[in-house]
Amino acid sequence: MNDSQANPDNDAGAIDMGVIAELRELGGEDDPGLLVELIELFLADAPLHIQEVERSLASGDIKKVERAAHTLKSSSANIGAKNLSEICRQIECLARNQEKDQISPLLAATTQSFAEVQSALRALKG
Amino acid sequence: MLRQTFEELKVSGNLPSPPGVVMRILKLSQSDSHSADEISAAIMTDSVLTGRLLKLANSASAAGAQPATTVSEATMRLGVRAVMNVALGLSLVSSNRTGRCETFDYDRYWSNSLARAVAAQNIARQMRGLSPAEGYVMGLLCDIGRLALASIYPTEYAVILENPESKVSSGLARLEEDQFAIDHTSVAACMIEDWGLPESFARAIQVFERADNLQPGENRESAAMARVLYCAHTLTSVCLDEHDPTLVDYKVIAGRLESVRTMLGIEPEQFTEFCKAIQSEWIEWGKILDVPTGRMAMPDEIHRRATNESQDDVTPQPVASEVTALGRSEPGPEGAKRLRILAVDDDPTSLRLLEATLKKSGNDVITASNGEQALKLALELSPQVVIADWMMPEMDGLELCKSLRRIDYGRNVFFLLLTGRTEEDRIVEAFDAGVDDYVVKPFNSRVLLARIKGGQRVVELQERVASDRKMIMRQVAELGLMTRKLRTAALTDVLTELPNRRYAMKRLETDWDASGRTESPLSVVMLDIDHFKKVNDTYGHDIGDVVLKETARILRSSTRQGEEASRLGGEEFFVVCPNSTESQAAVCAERLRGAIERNVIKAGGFEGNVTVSLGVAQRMPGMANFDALIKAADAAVYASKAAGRNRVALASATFRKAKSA
Repeated sequence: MNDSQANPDNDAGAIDMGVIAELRELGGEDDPGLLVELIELFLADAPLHIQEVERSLASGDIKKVERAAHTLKSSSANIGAKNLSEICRQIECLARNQEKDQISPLLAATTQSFAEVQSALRALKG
Repeated sequence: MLRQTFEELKVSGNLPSPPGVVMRILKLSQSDSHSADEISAAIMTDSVLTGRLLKLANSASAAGAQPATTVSEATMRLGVRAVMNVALGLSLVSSNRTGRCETFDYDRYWSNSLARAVAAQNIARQMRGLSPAEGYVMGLLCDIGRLALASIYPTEYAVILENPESKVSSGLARLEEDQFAIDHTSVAACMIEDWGLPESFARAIQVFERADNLQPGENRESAAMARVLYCAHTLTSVCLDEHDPTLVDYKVIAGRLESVRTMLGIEPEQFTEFCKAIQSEWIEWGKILDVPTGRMAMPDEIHRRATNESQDDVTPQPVASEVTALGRSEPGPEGAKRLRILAVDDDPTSLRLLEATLKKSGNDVITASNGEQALKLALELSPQVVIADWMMPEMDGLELCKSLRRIDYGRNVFFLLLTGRTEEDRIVEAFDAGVDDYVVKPFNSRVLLARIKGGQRVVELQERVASDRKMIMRQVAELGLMTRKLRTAALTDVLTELPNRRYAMKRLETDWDASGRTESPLSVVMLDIDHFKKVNDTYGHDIGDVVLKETARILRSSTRQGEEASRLGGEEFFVVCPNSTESQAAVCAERLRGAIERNVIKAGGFEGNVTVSLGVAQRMPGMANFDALIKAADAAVYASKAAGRNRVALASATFRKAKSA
């Protein structure tokens, strides 16, 4: 056990432990590796979507911004990353309404939030 | 009569049929006012088809040409007709990959058809005059009659395929004819015509097996296509069949291959290269269409074998079955209701979660990470429920749903859409596209499972309706079969199984009219067994029946193409010889006489041969109707008997004698 798991308050905002408990239960005895597998899938995949948001915003392809944010919104919600999911929802909304200028300020928040999620999930994985 | 038989088969609803998008293209092409653009647009609604079509357009064009990159370019390059035919052929491969006939090897069927298609394409290019793309399609489809019969009568056809006679094409045709009153080449020809392909191609299917010896009157386009198919068929069956070295004479095989080479006008040194190119294209197409391929024996190997009789390494590898029956599940234990569900999401985390949730509740789950893969898997594995994310790159969930709804299977699948957005307009759009229900993302597993349960009720109900419908269709097909058998029975002589007098008169009437129209000669041969009454009186009716049957057998085997023998009654038989003069028919009559005389019959106390007296007559300008022709032949039989039996008499000679007497 390491520090972050010993002190769950640290990442309480990053990950909804209720969702984690559900996923653990879903895996149950039949599929005990499910939670770890989902975490690994998410950690490998999410940075790609974040990069896609940044790159497409820079090149002005607002449609792609919307799509990447949309995907990240649901995969982060699946894993219990509420805060990250909410930021993505805002980006998706802004992109759909073509409010490009208001998206940039959210990029830093996205990266920050993902970093928190990442360390929380890594801790969970043990 | 054939056409009617085919229409009855069609009613059974089990004929292999192309998916909706291709049917639309075919319909479009049959209307007068279609444009190339409309057809391109229709094709582009199916992205899988588009890719395959472009591949063909590029492989069918000459080396060095700029590759076609759009459907319109492909249409321009191949021509509208070829594009439609290709669309048809390719779509059939993906939608008829498995079936219910247990002894029919579906993988092998498509593997061989694909090899024949590629060979026909290359051969058409070599021979010129026909579009290589059309060669490809006809190579692919010329054997579709076997698949069709296996689909309509899976049980009966499975039995036929176990009969060793079915290994040879003519033997198979005979068995099919006995059982279904139609054989696979006729079914294929009717299907080809039904799909709006040119009539000359349908004709080519019926004659290609003897294309090395075509009648001179054959239509130019059908003769050209028949030659392409003959070469492609011979080449692939020689190079792909697993020959049993103890049964096969390699000299014969090498000879068949040599006849193809000569027809193609290729130098011996280049022939192996030509076949190698076919083999590598075959493998390439196999990958694209997911059809197993193997190794072909090359002409030089076969030649070596024919000359050396060294028997190593020539037999090609058996076709490897690479297609796995992924996810095709049996019903769960104790009738537990497992559903076969296809889950589609481009986001790996969501897909994995979806899979875990569905499996947990006891379903069989197949996953796909994009719309195209999902469409392919759906066609192969027929899931009962499809759950797909709306937002996916390339083909999104709605497009997937629309594509599925266009095909037969896809109309019954329960389609559940996952969506992150619930605005009224979006939901309406989804239902308009044909989805059955939706679940909001990120999904709550209890809600998802509840929706699936709702879907399960729909699926079960539909399956029940479909199975009722199938049963009715099968009854209709069986009824049709019975009618056909009855119709055949009414025109067949029970003892000898030759056509009976009714049939003979009908046939003669048809030939009489045709010869009047085309001013071509028409002759008939009538024959009577000599001293038949004596056989009957001495040995009994049972032996008499054997003699009749034996005579019928010899007539059947000694008549040539176009000539048809029938039993008029008693010991009297009849052969009609269209397009023949009296002297040509006399050659036929002499052939029959000799064959019957040489045939030794052993039955009970009887051992020996019988002889026949024959009369030949040709249609003459003065004859009012075909009765007059029969009378003339009858008179000639009398003359033959009077002259000492076991001989051929000509009506013209009888006439002259009668006059001079």
